[in-house]
Parts: sequence; C-alpha cells; structure tokens
Amino acid sequence: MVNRVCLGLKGTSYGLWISKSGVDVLTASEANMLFSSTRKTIQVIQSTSVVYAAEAVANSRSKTITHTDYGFRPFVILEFRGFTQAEYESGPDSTNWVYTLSARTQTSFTFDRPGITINSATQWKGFTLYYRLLSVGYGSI
Amino acid sequence: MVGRVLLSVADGLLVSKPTVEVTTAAAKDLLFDSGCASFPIVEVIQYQVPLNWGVDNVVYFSNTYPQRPMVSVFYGGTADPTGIAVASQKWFALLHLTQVAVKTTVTYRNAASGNYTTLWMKLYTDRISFRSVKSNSGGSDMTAFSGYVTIIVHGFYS
Repeated sequence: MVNRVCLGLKGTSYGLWISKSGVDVLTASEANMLFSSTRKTIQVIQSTSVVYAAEAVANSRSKTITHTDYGFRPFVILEFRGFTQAEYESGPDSTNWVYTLSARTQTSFTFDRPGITINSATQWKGFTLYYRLLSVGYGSI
Repeated sequence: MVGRVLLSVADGLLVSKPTVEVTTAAAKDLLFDSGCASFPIVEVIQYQVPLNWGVDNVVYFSNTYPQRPMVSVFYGGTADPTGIAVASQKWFALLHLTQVAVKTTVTYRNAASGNYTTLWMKLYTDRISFRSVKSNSGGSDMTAFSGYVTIIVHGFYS
C-alpha cells in the first residue's frame, strides 16, 4: 500500500495532494494527482433555477436570474428540463451550453424562451432553466 | 507564510491559492471548496467519428451511470490526436442533459451555397452518439462531420 494523501509539507511547499490509486503521493508527478493544491478545480459555486410556465403566445418570454458578484467573470452552464425528445428535436438548436457573462459586474442574466415547433405551429412550452455558475472564468485563475 | 488549507467540521475542506490566507479568502481565490459540487474526471475516451450522413455513430462508456453525466467533447481534427494535450484541442461542446436522450447541436457552414451541416450529439446514461444532418437534403456540396474527438466524462449529476 502506498501513501495517497499528503496534507502539510511536501518537498518545500505546504498544501494538500491526493494521488491516483497505486501511486505514492510523496513522489507522484502532477499528472498522477487526483487533486493538487497547485491547481484550480472546476466546481459549481452557485446554482439556481427558474420556471417558465407554458404560454399560448410569446408573452412573458423573458426571465431574469441574479447572482452574487464573486470578483471574477464565471462561466455559466445553462440547462433545460421539461421538453420531450421530439420537442427538443424541433426546437432550440442547443439544449444547454456554456455562457460567458459580458462583464464581471454583470450579476443578472435574462433569457428569452425558445419557441418550439409542434405540428408546424410555434408553441411556448413550459420548462425549467437551471443556471450554474462555475468556479472558473475570467479573472479566477 | 499563510495558511492555505483549512480542514474543520464547520468549514469542511478549503484550499486557497498560493500566498492567499485560506480563512479570509474570497471565492475567486479558492482552488477547492468542499461546499461546492466538483467535476472529477471518471473516464476519457478517444473516438474517430466516421464520415457519413444520417447515422448515429455510437460511443459506449465503460459504465452505465445513475444519470446522464456531464460530458465535455473536444475536437482534435482529422489527424489522430494521440499525444496531443486536450488543452490544445478545440473545445466542442459540454453536455449535461436530463430526462430524455436529447440532441445538442453544433452547426457549421461549409458550402458556398449556404447549406450547412448540423452535428447532433445525443447523450444517454451509457453512451453518446454523433450524427451529421444536412440542412438541405438535396444538397451535394456539404461535408459530413468526421475526425477525432476526445470525450471526457465527469462524475457530476444534478
């Protein structure tokens, strides 16, 4: 069995390291680390969701989500839930994507619901939009 | 010297950037916070997407996951990217789909006529598929997506 967790002094640096299974953390290269306090880890630092009710027409299409100013421009993952597969395939080009805020001071995000084409008619289905801020982005590294 | 690792019952595990005191670090100065969900990498797959139209080219994961996992897809080009760092490849898409196996698409124009190719990527709990779709079924001046992709599966679920 090898050492896999080092908390404290390793070489000349203090920190926390966790190595891959079977690799001695005290001698492991960075490529063999599962976690190293010399590198940033991608994490979700804030998560929220907003519900869009179904609409007969394109009214109330926009909703705004606000978030904390973390001191940098975080990447954002948008995720949609509530469409059927057929609706996805006739609707938005992408069902989720990574969004970049325009500025560090942008602490709100407004999203217009996509129209879904069903039987040749555009409908505004109800769905839930999940909004997740990542720990990486401009100014975070 | 500053304290960079804080391990306590109240705070969990926090790790700050070099030279930043962990007990007072802002969110942007933390390398790790056990209070936040992480994206550990659970598997990495290299796959060559063949050049064809209208067919789901399927790549199976090594496991069937409890839910659809977070997946990053990188495009390495037409040459075998073995040995090329993922960081030097083009980031293509990040998928985290739920409930149904749905498409997420990448569209690119590749013809003077204005026709374009759409790449459908469908994510399941045990596989991912790639499918080239023509914008104009009669168009003959488009190119199907093909080449080497790197698929990173992250152990993150909603």
